[in-house]
Amino acid sequence: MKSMLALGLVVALLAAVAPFLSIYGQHIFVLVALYGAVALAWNILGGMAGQMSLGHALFVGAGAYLSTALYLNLGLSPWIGLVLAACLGGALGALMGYTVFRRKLSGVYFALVTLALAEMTLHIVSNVPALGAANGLAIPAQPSMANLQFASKLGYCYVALGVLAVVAVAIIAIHRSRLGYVFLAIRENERSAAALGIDVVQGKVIAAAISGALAALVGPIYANYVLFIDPESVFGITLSIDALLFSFVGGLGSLFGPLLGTVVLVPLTELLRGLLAGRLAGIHLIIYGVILVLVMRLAPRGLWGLLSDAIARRRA
Amino acid sequence: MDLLPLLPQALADGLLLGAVYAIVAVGLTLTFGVLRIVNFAHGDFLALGLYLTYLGAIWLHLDPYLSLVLVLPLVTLAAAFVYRLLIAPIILAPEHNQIVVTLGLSLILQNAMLAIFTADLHAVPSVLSGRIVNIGNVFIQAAALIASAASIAVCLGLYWLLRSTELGRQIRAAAQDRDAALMSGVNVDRMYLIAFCIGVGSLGLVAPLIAPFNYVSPSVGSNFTLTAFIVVVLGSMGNFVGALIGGFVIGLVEAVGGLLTGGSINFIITYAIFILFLLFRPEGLLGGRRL
Repeated sequence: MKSMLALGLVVALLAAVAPFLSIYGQHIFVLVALYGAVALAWNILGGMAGQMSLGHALFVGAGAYLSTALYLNLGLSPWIGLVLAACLGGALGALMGYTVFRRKLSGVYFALVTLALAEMTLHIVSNVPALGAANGLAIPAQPSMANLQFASKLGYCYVALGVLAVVAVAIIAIHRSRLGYVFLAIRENERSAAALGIDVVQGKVIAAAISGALAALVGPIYANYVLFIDPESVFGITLSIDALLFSFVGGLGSLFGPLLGTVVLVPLTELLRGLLAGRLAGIHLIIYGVILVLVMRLAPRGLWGLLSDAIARRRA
Repeated sequence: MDLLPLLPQALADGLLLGAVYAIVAVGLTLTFGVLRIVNFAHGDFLALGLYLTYLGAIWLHLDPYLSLVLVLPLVTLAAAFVYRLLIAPIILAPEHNQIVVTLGLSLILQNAMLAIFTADLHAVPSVLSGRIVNIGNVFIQAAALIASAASIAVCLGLYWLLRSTELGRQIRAAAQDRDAALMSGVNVDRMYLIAFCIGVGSLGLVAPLIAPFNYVSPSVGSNFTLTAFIVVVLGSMGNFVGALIGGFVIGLVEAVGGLLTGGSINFIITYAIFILFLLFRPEGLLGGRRL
């Protein structure tokens, strides 16, 4: 209960701060919240249950395309699209998890399957004219609550914060329930987990389904924020790697480390982009790579690990 | 449209492409088979080799075939440097950490090339560019023929090295059982270094050979990495002959698939094959035989 209360306080505080940010600040707020939600969702499967995915863009992209296609073709409100996106993400996660984990594929094989699934979907969507093929889909700007579009960035701040809060609540709930222990047992030692009577395959499938559903929630909101989606931006490997990167830098497996990673890296990226003004494309990714390698070498438990060690030392 | 007359051309293209895939995949499978590390930056070393070839052409006016003498040692040197700096420390680390480190390396290499050379496509001309050999109504670029022949020769040469020399015996020992090899006096760290240098360095040989008929761009590496993964899984991870066969299979699938469907649909077929193999036959075509 205490952690839920703390979460509520943090969310209320962020919501109170948002109106006082500059437009640029609000833009970063939205990006951090959305990327943070994806990273946290990734961490449920990748960190808490220990199954590293290289294809989480699949879920984000599926969510974005589902809600956008339904809105453009049937006029269905993206709010309903949001719910349907989560259902689709959960179903995809469960299906992927079931087919892969039943075959006892783990480690690098799982990473490769997820990578291949996301890339294959990218190429499939690029060949479907009804989904705009490689050109993508543009959403006409018609700001209204029902359209999940807002005239100011503040509205997007609140929606993005809302999604982040939903993901955070799910994580705390999992952590406190039996499921959290199931994930932990699977991550630490599958065989002992099985010996204790845990259904390992079922546990991993549930982790994949929850992780997929929550990641898919981000898709529709991203689409309505940018008002444009194309296969490369929502299904591309860059997004999958971002989710993994923020999680590893922040602290794999810790509950909110991935959010910490996002809070540090996303503003850094934007800052660099501003400073270099388009020169030296890709420089932020070089820095990502260097940070990633350094974190692996020097602090495998990520920023969260460093932080909690420092706090523990203070207390001692 | 009747596609049958075009089939021999597609088959020839597929085989030529397949040989290049095979040598790239053989390098990947060698590093995996010996070091047990999956190198997500493998293809980026090929891109590095292509850019070095490009620099050789614009700075020293070297034909790609001449720059071979520079590119091969430089890429091998880069491999040795990367092994010492990044790979050696994570040999015994958990698999997750290894994947993340090589992913990080790939980000660094790919985007360093993007920052230095921009995303523009470059061509590296050679005396052989545009030279065509025709057999019946099948047209083959001479440069592609040379690259394929050299690729197959290198694959066979590496196979011989591993199978029939003392060095190969020690590398295989290090691959099969690290501890037993250490106890028998094999310098395992050195074998790892050599295997990594051969696996990655072979890309320094391939790059100048494919430069005359390929565009150079920072993202060319990741395409090759993905294809190499597909080939390696198809031909059983760590299996040399498998990588060779897998290379030809994927080359043919891409060329014939491209003929039948056009556009990027043949990527879908390739990925579908990959996923089905991962799911139903993760041990690959030839099963678990290693090195």
